[in-house]
Amino acid sequence: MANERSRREILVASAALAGGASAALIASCGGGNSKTPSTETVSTIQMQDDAAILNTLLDLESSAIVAYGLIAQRVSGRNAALARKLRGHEQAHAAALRRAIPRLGQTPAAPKTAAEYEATFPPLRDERTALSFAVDVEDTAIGAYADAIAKVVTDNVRRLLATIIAAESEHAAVVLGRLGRPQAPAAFVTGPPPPTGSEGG
Amino acid sequence: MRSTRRQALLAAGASLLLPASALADVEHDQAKATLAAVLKVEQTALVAYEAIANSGVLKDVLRQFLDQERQHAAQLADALDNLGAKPPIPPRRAGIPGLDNALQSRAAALGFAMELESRAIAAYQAAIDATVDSNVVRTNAGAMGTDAQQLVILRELAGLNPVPHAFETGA
Repeated sequence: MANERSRREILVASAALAGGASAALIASCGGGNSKTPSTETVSTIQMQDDAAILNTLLDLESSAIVAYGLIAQRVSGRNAALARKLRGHEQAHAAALRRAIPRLGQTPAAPKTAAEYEATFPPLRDERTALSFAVDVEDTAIGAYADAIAKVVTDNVRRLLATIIAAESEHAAVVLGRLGRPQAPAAFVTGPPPPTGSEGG
Repeated sequence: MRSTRRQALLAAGASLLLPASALADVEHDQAKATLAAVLKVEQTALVAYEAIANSGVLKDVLRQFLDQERQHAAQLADALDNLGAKPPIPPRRAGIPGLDNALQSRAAALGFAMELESRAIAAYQAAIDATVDSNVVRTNAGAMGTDAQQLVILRELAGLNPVPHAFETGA
């Protein structure tokens, strides 16, 4: 359990560091007040905020792409095929985010190098460790997307994030099954707890 | 730069000289309608899964699903209540299309349940799109994710590709 927690903390901290100000925006946007005024327009500032959120998610997807590349090398047979497939899905998510950000008037952030992402990953000693890391990658994504979807105000962006959360939840279910664990373990997927202000800022 | 639904509504409202409160009512009504639509799918799942499990088909799997669907339905009813709306009347077993056939075999039950879960995912996405309360949005996203996980379990039991799409849109 302690190992699982530390892996998640590494991933979340990595995303927050990479996002920089963007992560701070995710943590602060709409905080405290759960109700967005129902008739407000989406202002330029709100669109910038949404773009910043998407840039943080884009970094998380870039990290997941590298992670699955590494996982695919540590597992074999049908698990390797699954890792390659999920890597393809993460690439499709990243591409969709890259297309969405300019529509909000902003520029997609460039990904870090693979080595920079790999430096934040735990050691993948064997097949089981690699699959457990894949669960953490998916849980981290679910948590980040769930946090983001409650904060974005641009409707078509919200719909995109919903389709990705559903896909990431499916990924987690398949990998959990490969580990012999319950595939739908909770009534509400939430991912790991969001980072605190000090971790995210 | 694409306009959003809210911008479109405001533009329409401005042209018709509608007050902001009327526009708020439109969004309020959309949220109520979409949340009620999701709840109807969850209520259908509750009745149908109970009937299928009682027939002895997919008993263990559907019992687990039932517990989760009950929690989904409860939070949707609460969300509707907070909007001043009553939950829809749950369907009767005889009024659920395809249920009788689903009771006949494991394959039919799996097909029925997969179709239902896909509809639920699509309905949740419509509700997420129409709801402005961020807590409700987040909770519905969590429920939708679990329904997607249930869909994976059903696909695997049916011998299908469990993750066929990079973007899960449901039905």
